[in-house]
Amino acid sequence: MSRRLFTLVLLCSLTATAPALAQTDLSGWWARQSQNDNGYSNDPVDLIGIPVSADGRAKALSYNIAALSATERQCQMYTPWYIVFGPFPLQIIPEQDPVTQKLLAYRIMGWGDRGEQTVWMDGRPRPSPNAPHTHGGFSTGTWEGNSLKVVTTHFKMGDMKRHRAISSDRATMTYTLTRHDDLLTVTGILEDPVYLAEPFVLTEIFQLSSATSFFPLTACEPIEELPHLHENPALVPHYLPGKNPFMNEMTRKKGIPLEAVMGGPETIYPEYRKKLKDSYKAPEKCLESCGGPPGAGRGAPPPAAGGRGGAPPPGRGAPPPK
Amino acid sequence: MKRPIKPWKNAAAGSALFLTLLSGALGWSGRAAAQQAGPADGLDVQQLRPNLYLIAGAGGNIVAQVGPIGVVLVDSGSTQAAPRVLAAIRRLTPLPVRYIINTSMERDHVGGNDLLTSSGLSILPGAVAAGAGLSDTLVSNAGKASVLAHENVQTRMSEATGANAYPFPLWPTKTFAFHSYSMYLNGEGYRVIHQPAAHTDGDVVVEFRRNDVIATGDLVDTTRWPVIDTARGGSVQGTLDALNRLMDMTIFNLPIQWNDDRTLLVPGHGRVYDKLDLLEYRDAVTIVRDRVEDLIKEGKNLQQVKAANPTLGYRSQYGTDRGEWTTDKFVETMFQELSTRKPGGSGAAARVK
Amino acid sequence: MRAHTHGARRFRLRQGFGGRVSAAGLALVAALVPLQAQRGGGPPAGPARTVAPIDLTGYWVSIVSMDWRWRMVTPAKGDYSGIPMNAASKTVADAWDPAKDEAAGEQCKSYGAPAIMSVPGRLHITWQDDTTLKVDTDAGQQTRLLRFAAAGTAAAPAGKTPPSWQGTSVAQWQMSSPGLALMLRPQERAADVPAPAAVRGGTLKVTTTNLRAGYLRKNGVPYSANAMLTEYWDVTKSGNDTLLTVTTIVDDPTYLRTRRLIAYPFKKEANGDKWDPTPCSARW
Repeated sequence: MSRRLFTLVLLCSLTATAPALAQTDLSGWWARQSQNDNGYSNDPVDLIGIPVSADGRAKALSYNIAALSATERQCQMYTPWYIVFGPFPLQIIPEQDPVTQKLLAYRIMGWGDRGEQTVWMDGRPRPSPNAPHTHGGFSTGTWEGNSLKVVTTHFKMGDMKRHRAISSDRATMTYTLTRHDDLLTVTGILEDPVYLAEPFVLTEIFQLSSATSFFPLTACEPIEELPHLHENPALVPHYLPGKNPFMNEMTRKKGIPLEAVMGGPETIYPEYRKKLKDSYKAPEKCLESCGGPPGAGRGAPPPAAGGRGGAPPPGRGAPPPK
Repeated sequence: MKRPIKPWKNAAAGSALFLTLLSGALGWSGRAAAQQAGPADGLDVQQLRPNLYLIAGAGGNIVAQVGPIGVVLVDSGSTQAAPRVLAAIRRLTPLPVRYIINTSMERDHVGGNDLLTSSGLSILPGAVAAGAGLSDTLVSNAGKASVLAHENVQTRMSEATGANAYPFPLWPTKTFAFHSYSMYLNGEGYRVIHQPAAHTDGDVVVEFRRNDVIATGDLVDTTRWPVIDTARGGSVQGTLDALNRLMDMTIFNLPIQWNDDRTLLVPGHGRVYDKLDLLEYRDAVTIVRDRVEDLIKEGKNLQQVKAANPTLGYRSQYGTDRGEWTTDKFVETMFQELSTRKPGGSGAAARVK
Repeated sequence: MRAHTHGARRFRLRQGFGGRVSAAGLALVAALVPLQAQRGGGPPAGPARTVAPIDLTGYWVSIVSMDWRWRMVTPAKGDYSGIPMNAASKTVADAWDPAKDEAAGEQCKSYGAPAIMSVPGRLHITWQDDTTLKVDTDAGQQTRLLRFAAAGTAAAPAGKTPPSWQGTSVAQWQMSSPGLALMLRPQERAADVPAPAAVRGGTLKVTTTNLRAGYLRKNGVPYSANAMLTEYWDVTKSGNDTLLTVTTIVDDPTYLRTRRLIAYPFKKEANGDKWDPTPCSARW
């Protein structure tokens, strides 16, 4: 064989750890870095920035957090959308066929309350619409330039904003992962014909890290949190229409008009500011969760470098508000 | 599929194990689903367990359990689809259909009884073995596969007349009258459990004990609100009781929550559920019931209750405005029952204040 | 196999791989392997407009789904959540007074380059010439000029222009690079052979310096004149929508403990029918 060919052989052998035909190496630990309000809220009713449909709004308003105490919900994992709005890092591992070294899939490892995702790169077909759904759903990936585009379906009904807004089991999540040096930008698009009036777009930034806190999926054993729920399993905690006691909290604390708190497609575009100008009055000062440098003495400290990784958010399984 | 926790450093061993597990994974990962899809016959055959299949697209969902003696079916789809269903079964196994269990008397669940039993084989002996004076028709369904249903199914079928009459070959050949009927057949333990006054008065759910699958019939329908046929003995409370009973019978994948081991539920129509899906469904029906009840307490009449849209938040997910069983019909049926219920009934106590 | 006696060191490989490899070949491998980690696109030949791997031109509208309460409305004084500010920054922010900014003619302080992408509004992106992308915003009526180095030259220096709200921006295309196909594989079955990966796409990287001190947030969270802004502009398609994501990195040792990292999504619009120029405002 020629010298050139042998050089190529060795080149390929030594680079065989990189996924075949991969445009960019996405593998590794990625610590959440973005400093935004994705996914969290201090207010029980908060749909701002979400283009919810009428059904999505009504479902969110009927939600009573005591429902989390039902046995089945205590250990319920979040949807794949949690990748963009949850607090956890990402661990991405390529899986290659042991014989051909062809890239079969990327695994985005499960973490805390988020199930593992397998992103199939081998062009396999999507499951039947009649197939059961899982927490992680079914994902396929393709390269668009140097971005990996992932489409996920077949995931369960679950949160699109933690304990505030719900996505249905007919939702589709499309997200692209684009690496810029040591940063990974994830742009997520959630489409839901049931609970969204138009696609919900969020972004998140992660940084390649070797020192990420580790909070793996662990076994979860539910307990009997609220005796009356377990004595009568037919009970379903919910708020009747118009009776959610927390509807006006965000307006009261932050001056945001109720219409905006209720979300909807109109509220996410710049022209909505014209409507807000006359109806919004900023509070005199920030009252809670104001951020600032550590030790500022007012409100919760801002996220430290490394994002919001670490312990899971409060609220899961907590007793319902009195 | 069990998936042990793998130390993140041990990527190579993890990869090998992952791929080994991958090759043995259940079929819905996509590739297996593609393998099971037959020709363009409008049917969707999904392998749920190694010997258990869903056949969708034949009217109501059909569950086929394939074993050493042949095939046991839960429901048989519509009459029009029966030839395609038979062809689909033949692609799974050359063995005959031995038994059909009907979950109700709905025509899209019993319509294939004739063809599928005729092409099958009875588990019972012929008349000669049973004794003189008894015909094969009586003893062994003339050698055809048997059909099991609750007694009320047979009663309703026999009462139907004129255009609504059920041809005799669709009727069950074996019935039971009380709570449940159990049997071991084809290597599987079957519990056929009556759900009184639910969708109708003749509904059963069929539990495959070894496979941990439950065929729910039309008690669960992912394409519309649960149909409540009051003319044939159905009721709102009975439906809710049945859904709660199903919750008790179902096991979710805890405590190893990334594990795929869990009870699967095959609804009368639509996709396969598990306990969490059933929970959402049960909750939606309960919440609508609570809302209608509350509106009735406020003195609202039917038109006012409909105008208040008590299904808002759940309507797009579970309801439809097409066909015979629309969201409006569902609300009407609820209103009729709840407005005649005495105050302080079980529904009133169910809501958390 | 016979050994050769040329100058470079040779290695005898196993029969499965055949022949021999030179040290030069190994050096080539060693040099190329790290490029696997990131996109490998070096500067393409030709003017920036001609070689653009993505089309940024057109009208783009902010999608305000993130940080709504800090972007759609002016947040309360003291609401600094999410920004890694330091004590010096807090001192400045606590003293925020929009009336003073108006009096000083500094209504545009929150429309500077490090913050402009967070302001709900529309972008109109055009080519001013073959090496300059022009980004107009209707909110605050700002203009950014993203200048590419001409082919064969180094990136243009900031020069002697005075600091401005939009600063001086240097742009470069980062091209997608093809992944390495693994050669000499066993012949694969036809069904398994993937379609050749079409290599398209790329990223716009923009570095901006020479800034006037301004606000990262409308309620006075500051950045200093020492701040440097790095952005990555990416285009993706989803269904009928074309999205632009601008990954924004602000380095400011004067006022920030760590980098300010956030990515803003925009959606492409068919035309400029909703273009709505509004002047800067210190209050809203």
